[in-house]
Amino acid sequence: MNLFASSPIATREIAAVVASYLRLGDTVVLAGEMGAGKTLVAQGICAALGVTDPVTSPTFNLVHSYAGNDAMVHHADLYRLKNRDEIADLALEEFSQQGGIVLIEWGDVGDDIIGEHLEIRISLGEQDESRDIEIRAVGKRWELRWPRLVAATKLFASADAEWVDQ
Amino acid sequence: MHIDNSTVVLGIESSCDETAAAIVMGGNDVLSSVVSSQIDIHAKFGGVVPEVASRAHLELMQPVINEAIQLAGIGAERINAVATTIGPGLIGALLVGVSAGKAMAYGLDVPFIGVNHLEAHLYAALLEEPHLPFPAVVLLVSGGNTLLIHMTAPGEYSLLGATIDDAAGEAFDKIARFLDIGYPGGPAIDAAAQLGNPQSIEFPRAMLHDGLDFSFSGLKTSVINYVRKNPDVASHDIAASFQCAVVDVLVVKTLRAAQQVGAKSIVLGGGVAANSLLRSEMQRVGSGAGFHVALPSKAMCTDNAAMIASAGWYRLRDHGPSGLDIGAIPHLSLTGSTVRGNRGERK
Amino acid sequence: MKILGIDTSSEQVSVAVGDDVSISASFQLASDRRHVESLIPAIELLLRNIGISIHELSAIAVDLGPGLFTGMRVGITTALTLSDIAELPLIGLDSLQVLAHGIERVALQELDDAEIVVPILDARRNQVYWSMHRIDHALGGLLEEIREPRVGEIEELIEDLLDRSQRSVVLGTGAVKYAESLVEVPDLALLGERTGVQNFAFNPHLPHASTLVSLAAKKYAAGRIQGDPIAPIYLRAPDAEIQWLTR
Repeated sequence: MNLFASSPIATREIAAVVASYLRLGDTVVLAGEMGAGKTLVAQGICAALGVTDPVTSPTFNLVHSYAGNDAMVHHADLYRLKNRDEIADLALEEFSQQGGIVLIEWGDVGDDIIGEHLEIRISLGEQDESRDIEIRAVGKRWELRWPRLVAATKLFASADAEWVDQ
Repeated sequence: MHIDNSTVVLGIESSCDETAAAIVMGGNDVLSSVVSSQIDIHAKFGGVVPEVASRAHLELMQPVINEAIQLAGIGAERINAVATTIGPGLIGALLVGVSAGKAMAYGLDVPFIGVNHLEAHLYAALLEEPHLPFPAVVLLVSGGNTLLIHMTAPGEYSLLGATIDDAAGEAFDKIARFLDIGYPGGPAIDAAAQLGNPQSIEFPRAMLHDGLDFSFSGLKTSVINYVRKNPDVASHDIAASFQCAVVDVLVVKTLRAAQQVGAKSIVLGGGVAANSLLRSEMQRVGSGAGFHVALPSKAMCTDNAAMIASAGWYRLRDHGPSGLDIGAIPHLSLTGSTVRGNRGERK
Repeated sequence: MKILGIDTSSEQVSVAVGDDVSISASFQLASDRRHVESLIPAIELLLRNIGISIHELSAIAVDLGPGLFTGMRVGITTALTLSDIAELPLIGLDSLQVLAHGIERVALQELDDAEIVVPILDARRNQVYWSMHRIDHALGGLLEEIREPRVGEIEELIEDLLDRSQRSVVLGTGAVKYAESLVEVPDLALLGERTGVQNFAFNPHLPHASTLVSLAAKKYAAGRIQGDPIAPIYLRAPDAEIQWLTR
């Protein structure tokens, strides 16, 4: 589905709605070019999950882990990686198997390695502050929640949205 | 255990891309300091930019430790304690150093000291300038951190400010990549900026008048937006203007912090401390305002194990050793607090 | 002969000291992946109770994987460092071999009329690590490796087993996880199914340091320990470069 965020505040609101539909063990891939606002979405999701520590860019350390209200939230970034086996080497699935929630910036470059996930793709909009946000689910894990997520984000649906199933 | 000027500490560092080991006596006498890039790994790893390092750390750890011992001209039995970075950093990378450090300490039957990597950076300046006037304000600025720290004495410090999103070094790397002017980004921007006009574009100075925290994410986005709208502007001018915006914020905030806490010295640390404009501006503005400005050498600014050994010596003297059951703490903060429910203390 | 064995290739941390005849002491900590926290204290505990120092050991044996990457690296780094300090030979064995030979220690009767033992470890992402071992009944149930460790989809393994159509015993976390899929292979039994024995001395579905010590001790006694490459067995093939379109 395609959403439109007119400002960073709206982007964070969309992130918060997505967060409210996350379950323990979920993985969210954050895609989009540099400066699009992947970390901003991660910050929004973390805040909604009850993370109180400052959520900073994980580019350098590759993974930052935070305690949320009900789960650990692991915020990863593949930006610095070169080979695909390095993605596997991060063993991000170990985090989700432990019941953590995993957010992966640039995760779309390895989405076949990453397994079932929700992808949030952010693109720079026409105005400096606006963003087009495309969300899709990969795998069956989201099947039941998907219609509810679509309904909950209707407020942000872009005017020319094509209503496709996933 | 009596800790004095003859106490020899082996330092081990593996928090990120560098595998490093060093031997330091009495807290600041560096007998040897080896960083993996000094060993010929380029052939094997194709001379690539630093990557996920866990696998490389495992291969390099033993040779690097042995080289440090050898260069120090001592035998392993002369080592009185082993200090190792336990965080912050990449978990897979940290685990290799912590495993090696604990095994060394156990095997040699000497104390083990878990060291906070960020705290160790504060000792780096002292290694080159043992009589640094305190109190000092330290600007620790690297690929992973942008921190302002108030240091009243070795081991006594508090956090004054930090980035709320991207680290300054990360902004350098990403803008360099975006402008396609080379890697690593710090030196590339530095070089390109020499040829450009720093006044050509007025990029935003985020939070300049607002406290001691930093934000560089917005600057990154505005550079990208600017280039998109003005594709013909020379990348030298963009690099120079971008660098000028970053350095402006870093210098203004550091000076403000120094004035607020009544510091005597201003100290630079971290990889970005090698940036020529940051060094010259900090020197000019800092000295002009009457502060002693300490600019450690590049080797001491960037990740190394001498600072780990030094921090370990002070920690051992003041707080004693760590238990051998200590773990790696990827998200360790400067003040020692860790994330609740971290690995090792999960709910 | 006294060999220290270190096995951190799974979620479990285990250490043992012994020789080719018996195990003097062993320790295991189930799950929770506290490898780096517990490994050195565990080694300290064992050696202190046996009353020897690391310098009195004959060799150190370590599980090289395949398995949990972070765990493997803790065990291997520790083994490399200790062997360096104490100037001890290092013996590395793969986790599947250790797992397979665990049968000899916990349930030899399970091998009764079986022809092969297939250790299977969960490799995540619908993949498993496995190897195959022929049972030499003439030699009292000795195992001989006939297929080297590999990684692949569970379907690939099932096909392999169907092709062979031999009576097999499977064990390991992968065998347990995919038990329902493996049922379709005729003449296959999950460890414990034939005899109904369930109370094992240790979890037989994970590699254990005491088995590692026994295997390493045999190698040591036979003098076959020169030039063992001590490096993690990741088994994931060196992968292609990431296709970065924008960055």
